[in-house]
This record gives sequence, C-alpha cells and structure tokens, in this order.
Amino acid sequence: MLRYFLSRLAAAIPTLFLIVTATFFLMRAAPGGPFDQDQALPPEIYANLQRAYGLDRPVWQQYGRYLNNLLHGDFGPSFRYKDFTVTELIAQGFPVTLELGVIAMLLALCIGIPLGVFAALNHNGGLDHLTMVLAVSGIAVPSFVLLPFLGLVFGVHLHWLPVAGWEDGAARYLVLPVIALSLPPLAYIARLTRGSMLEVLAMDYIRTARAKGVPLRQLIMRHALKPALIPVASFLVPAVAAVMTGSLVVESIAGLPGIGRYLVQGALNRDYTLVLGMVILYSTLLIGMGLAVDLLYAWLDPRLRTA
Amino acid sequence: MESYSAAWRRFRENRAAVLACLIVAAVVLLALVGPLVNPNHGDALDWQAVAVAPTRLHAHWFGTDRLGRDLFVRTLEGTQVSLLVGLIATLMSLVFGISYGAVAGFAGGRTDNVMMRIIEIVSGLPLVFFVIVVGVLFGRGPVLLFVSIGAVSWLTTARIVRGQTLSIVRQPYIEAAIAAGAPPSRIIYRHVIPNLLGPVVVYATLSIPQIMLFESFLSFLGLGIQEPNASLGTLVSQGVGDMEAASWILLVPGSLLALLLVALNIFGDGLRDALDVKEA
Amino acid sequence: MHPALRIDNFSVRFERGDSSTMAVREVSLQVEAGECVALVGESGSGKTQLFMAAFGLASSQARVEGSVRYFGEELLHAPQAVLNRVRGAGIAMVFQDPMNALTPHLSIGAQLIEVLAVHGGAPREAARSAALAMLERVGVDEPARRMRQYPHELSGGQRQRVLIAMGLLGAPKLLVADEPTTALDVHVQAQVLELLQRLRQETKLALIFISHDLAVVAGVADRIMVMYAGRIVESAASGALLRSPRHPYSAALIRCMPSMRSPVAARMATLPGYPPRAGDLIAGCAFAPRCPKAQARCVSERPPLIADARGSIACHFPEAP
Repeated sequence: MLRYFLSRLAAAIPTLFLIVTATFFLMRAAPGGPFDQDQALPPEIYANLQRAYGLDRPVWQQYGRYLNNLLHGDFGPSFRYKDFTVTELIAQGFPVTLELGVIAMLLALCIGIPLGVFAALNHNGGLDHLTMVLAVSGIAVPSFVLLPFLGLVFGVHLHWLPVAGWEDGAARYLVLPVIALSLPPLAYIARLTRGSMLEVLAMDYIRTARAKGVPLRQLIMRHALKPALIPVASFLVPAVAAVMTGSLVVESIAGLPGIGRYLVQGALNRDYTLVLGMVILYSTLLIGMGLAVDLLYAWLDPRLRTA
Repeated sequence: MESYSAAWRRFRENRAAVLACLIVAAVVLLALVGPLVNPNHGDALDWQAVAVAPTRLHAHWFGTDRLGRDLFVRTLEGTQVSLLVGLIATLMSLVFGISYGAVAGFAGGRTDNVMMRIIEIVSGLPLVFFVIVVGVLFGRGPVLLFVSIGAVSWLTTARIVRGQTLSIVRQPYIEAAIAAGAPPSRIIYRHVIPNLLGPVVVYATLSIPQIMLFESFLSFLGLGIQEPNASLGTLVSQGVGDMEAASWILLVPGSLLALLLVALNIFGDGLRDALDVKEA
Repeated sequence: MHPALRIDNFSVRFERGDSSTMAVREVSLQVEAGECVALVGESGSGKTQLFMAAFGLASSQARVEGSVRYFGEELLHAPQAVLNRVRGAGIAMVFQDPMNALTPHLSIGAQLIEVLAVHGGAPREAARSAALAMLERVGVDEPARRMRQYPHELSGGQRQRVLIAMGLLGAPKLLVADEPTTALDVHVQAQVLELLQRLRQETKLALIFISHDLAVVAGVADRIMVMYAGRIVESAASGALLRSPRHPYSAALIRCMPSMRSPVAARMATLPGYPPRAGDLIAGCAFAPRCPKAQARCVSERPPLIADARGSIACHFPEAP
C-alpha cells in the first residue's frame, strides 16, 4: 500500500509538469497577447512592456525561465493586474474560494451521506422517494440556475438574505452561494450512498452481525457504513472538480471576491502567468485530493492495504 | 429480442419515467413548433416593449428582454439550440468513445492496458479548466464547442463500452467464433455492437442532460453560443443581470432549463432501470 | 418446561411487486433443550429461509405468519429490541458460505468480542480471553494472531471456524447451523462435532443442523426432518428414518447417500426432475411429478402431515415401516 501510494505520489509530478507545459504553450499559441488592448499602445511603450516581461525572447526561453522560477516557488508577476504577483492575487482570493468550497463539500457530505443511509433504511418508503426526487433535481439543476432562483426567493422577495455581496465575509453572504454550490454534489452523494448502502445491507456479513444481536445503530455505523462509503470516496475527486467549476460561476453571480474570476478573465486578457497559476493551483488540488482518496480507500477496506 | 419487450413493460410501469418522457417530448415539440406559431420573431427588437412583464393580454406571452426581444420565442429557440448542441456533442462523444472502447476491449492484452492507462491519465486532468481556457483563447465557434465538450465526455463512454466488449468477447461462443477464424469486423458487427446497444442507449440518454448542462455552463461564462444566437445557458446568464428588476427574464429560461434537465435525467434513469444496465 | 424452540403453522411469503412466492408453508416443529435435530432437503426447499424468517433475519419483503417461540417467548413480530437480546445470546446461528459472512473491515477479534459486548457481558479483557479460548476450542491455529487479522487474511476453513466460535461465544441455548462443516476438512469437522456434542451434554444446548446431505447429519442428529418445497414431509428418529423411510422422497434421499451408493446404484438412484419453484401453485403433493409411486389422487389432493408414534408423515401411500 505504501509503495502504491508513493508511486502515485511520484506520478503526480510528471502529470503536473505535463499540465503546466500544455497550458503554457496553449496560451502562447493563442492569437493576441497581454498588451494587445482595444486601443493599440504606442509602439515604443508596447516594446518596452514586452521586454520588461520577457515576452520579446523566444518562447522556449520564456518557458525555461518560467519553469525555473516555478521551481523556486515564484509564479511570476501578473501581466494585467500590474503591481501584483500571481501569488499575491491568489493569496488574496483563495481563502474566499476555499472557504466557500470547503463548506459546500462538508455540507454535501454531512447531509448527503446520512440522507442516503436513511433513504436506504426506508427502502421504497416515503423518505426514500423524497430523497430520490431531491437527488435527481440536485444533479440536474445547475448551480448557476439555482443560485439566482434562491436569490429571487430569499433575497428579492423575502428579504431574508442578501442576493450578492461580501462585506468581509459575513456569514449571511455565504449562505445562498454555499447552498447552490453544495446541492449538486449533495444530491449525487445521497444517491450513491443510498445505492451502495442497499447493496451492503444485502451482504452476508450484515446478516451475521444481525444474528449476533447487533442493534441497528451499531449495525449501520460499525458494519455497513465503511463499505458503503467506498463509491462515495471514488466520487470525491469529481465532486471537488465540480465544486471548483461551480464556484467559478457562483462567485461571479454572488459577487464574492474569490479567485474564480481569474481563470476566465485571465484567459481573456492573455494574462499568461495568472492563468498558469490558476491551472497549477486547481490541478494540484485535484491531484492532492486523488492521493487523499487513495489513503481513504485503505482506511475503508483493509483488503486494499496489502494490495 | 424478448428482453426488449420486457424492458418496455418495465419502463411503462415506471410512472415517473413515463411522465418525464412525456415532458421531454412536449418541450421538444414546443421548441420546434412554438416559434412558428408565435407572431413574434426571435431577434426582432420591439422598442415599444422593452423588458415588459409577461401578461396574457400582451402580444409577448412571456414578456420581453432588455432589447425588447420576445422571451417566449427566444427561450424556445434557445431550447432548440441547447437540445441540438446536446445531441450533436453526445453523438460525437459516442462515436469516439465507442470506437475507442470497442477497440480496447476487443484487442485486449497490452493494447487494452495502454489504452486504458491513457484514459486514466486523461481523466485525472482538470479537463474542464482546459476547456474553459481553450474556449477563451481560441474564439468561441460552435465547432470548438462541440470538440471541447466531446473531449470531456468521451472518457466514460469509452470505459463502459470497453467493459461491455470485454465481457462479450469472453463469451464462449465468441471465443469459438474467433478460434474458427471469423474476421474481427464480423464479430464486432454481429455480436459486439448489438449487445452494446442497451448500455449505450442508456448512457447516451443520461449524457444529453449532462452535456446540455455543461454547454449552458460554458454559455453562461460567455464561452458557448454567441449572440445573436442563444442557448438556454446564455439566456439564464442574461437573466441573472436583470433579475432584481425583471425576474421573468431569468425565470422563463431558467425554469425551462431546469425542467428539461430534470425530465431528461428521470427519463434516462427509467431507461437504465428498464434495460437493467449497471450504473457506471 | 417449554421446549427450546417451538414453531407452529409457520409460513413465509416473499412479495416482489405484485408477485408473491411461498418459501415456507405451514411448518410446525419442536426442539427440546439438549436435543439435536436435522432439517434435510434440496437447495431451494426453504430450509434456510425457515430459520432466517423465524428469527427476523429474512429480507424486508418477507411476510411471515404463525408462531415461533423460544422457551415460550414469542419471537414472531416481536420488537427489534427483543430479537436483538435473544439473537447472539440465546439463539446463535452459524451460516454457510464463509466467503462474505464476516465484516471485511473489522478484525476477527473485534467481531468476536462484539458478541459479548452487545449483550452487555464481560469487561473487555475478559471478553478477549473468552474469544481467544473459543477460537482454540474450535480448532483455529495461532488464535492470538488470528484475532488481529482481517477476514480476507484467513482461509475459508478458518473463517468457518471463526463463525462457529462466534456462534458459541454467547453461550447460546439454541444453535442453528446451516451446512456448518462443509468447508472443513474431516479432522476439523470431527473436532467441531465433538465440541458441539459436549456442549449439548454440559449446557443442554439444543442443536439444529440444516443440510442438503443426509450423510452429514446421519451420525449426529437424534431426529431428522425432511423438507420438500417448503413443507416438512416426514419426521422421525434418525435411526428409524434411515432404516425405513416412509416418504418416497426420504427414500430417494437415502438412496443418494454416498455410503449407500455403488456405482450402478448411484446412477439408478439419481432423482429425476426438479423440485417445483417457490412461486408455483400446487394443488396436490409437491413431490408427485417426481414420485415413482404417484397416482391421480397425489396430483389433486394434498396429503396432510399426520403425526403418529413414529414421528410424522405426509404421504397418501407411505412405505410400510
């Protein structure tokens, strides 16, 4: 298991390298550059800017320099947000995005899993049907439709919660974005948990445990939950990816100062370093999540520890 | 095949799926016929009626948007676009996914290993971010949209098809046919493809709403369908900007998108249960 | 004194959608403390479902009717709390197929100790040593190491022994063992059977063996009940039943026993046809289509189970004892 984990860890580095390289050359292959604006700059200023940011050199030299800086932990300056380095921009916005994403994921897990378990225990009952309806709607309705709808109901009509804004992270500004962001993964997790719990409850070892007189609560918590969570663990990486992409739109709708806007804006502005920084951040998070899931598997199923 | 009549019976007994199927059919019909019967034209600007609310008496049944365009017609035309994108992109992802998966499953051995390893690596990449970046960088034509959506969604199809193909090829009668020297093309055509039909139909049905959702997401970001055309995603994105003053500009396309996606999902789930296809 | 187990008019029906299948039909039986009885029948005869449903372990689609009393206490439709108190402590069950019968992510020790823990018994250390001792008694080698291991690290035979140890750990008054020794080699099989016999004498343990093979139970059971298509068709003391079966089906089972089988006889003795499916409606005797002695009456009229001095029998034309 340790060897497997280490090999996965080692494989992460070339993967990241590949992503950085692909993104770098994709950006350079695109027409336009960071200083091509609507109004053309005077040629000498344009040339100066190009030189200042090293864009006058051959692409492979820029690439080498970028990689070298990266190895020293330097993501470079932003080409569009002058006076800011990419690291500074990300450091400003990331806590907001992270807070939003982590709360949304926790909510999805903490509600989705119990919901799935209760639905399975109530198989074909009212709660089961209700959960499945919720699950299908949650999976199908995108967060960029859900959030404005929630805003209309709870903000515009009921005046309970603000529709958009931030105000230094007051909790009420986070409520609707978090709900909108967590509902799709919550729905999916509930459905996965229900399905796998039904399968596990039909297993022979559950019968053995019941024959021992293990009460229901202990039966679920001690015998059934861990195996039933294996599909949920597999879903964690796609779920995190979905929350990340969801937060791109949710942040913009709710006016949150996260880093979501940098990806699209950065690409529009040809802000090479900013987009690269964002892609590296997102990729690292996803790959890290994948590694965490590997460890989670080993915790959930001892058979995978020796493999 | 008798199993299909049994599947049809199971499907008919699933009331939610039948209802969803009817809703999808109704929405598709409405999207096709609606714009024809309504006197308003989708990109005609009515400056006498800018952002008017829906009323029964009014000429604009669902109101108008900021530019005075009829929302009823625009939403239905947007639905057409969304459905079309969903269908074409699903088709593309199916064609590529099925070929890739069938080849991997049929070849087996090392070829299969390498091909599956490639899928594993690609699915570990943050593809959605790539699609966004590529979309921004290289203009936003419909071709690029199809290609990028297809690129993200073919992986699952390939995996399903490969698994199915493997299990079919391992059947004794296929092994016997191979041993007897039947050409692979004949085996694929006669045995593999017919057996793939069920899972592929189910998966395609479930893909359409996912791809429509992804398209509307890209359109919402401004990376999908461009003006004057609009998909439901574009319309929702426009509606969000005006939602406090003119909520119907958001509500009309938003509700239709939500309704359509939920119905397509329930329909796909019903089809899966009826054909008894294991979830991927 | 109540019998250890008394089952009256017990039926089990499975409902799936609008179809319903009858797995167990109007079964009555009684097992005294210290007695060992065997329930024999082909797979699918309902012998396993009978006890699963009796102790509330059948799937939620099962509908049960009748009465199941453990030392006089009604278990059927009893609250879960009552069933959980009785199961594992009073009534223990040992299942066949040890492949998936143990929870994969819990160590053997944890699963054994749980038996004592849920029944509010001994402190942890005492429970541990009790579990260790029981593993040793059922012939598990290196019990201390096994306690720390997970089910997938044990062989099938080892797991089966763990299951037997688990059943015995709660000091049950009634043990239902479903093909408990099929996964064991002859030596261990003998060891386990000897242990069970000793417990019968020492603690008045009542034993129920479920098996498809008469040969396995012939040596241990005091009494044998033969089940066919959800019904008990004959019941008698072991010796009497083996020597002179009265039901044609019992006779056929005996002819299939390996010890009775010469190569030629074996070919002749194989029973033609298949048992009816659980969903089928049967007007007469369920065995009639396969019975060499069947007559018109057997197809139209179901023979009732009639008790007499020798046991009980459900056949219109029984063999003379």
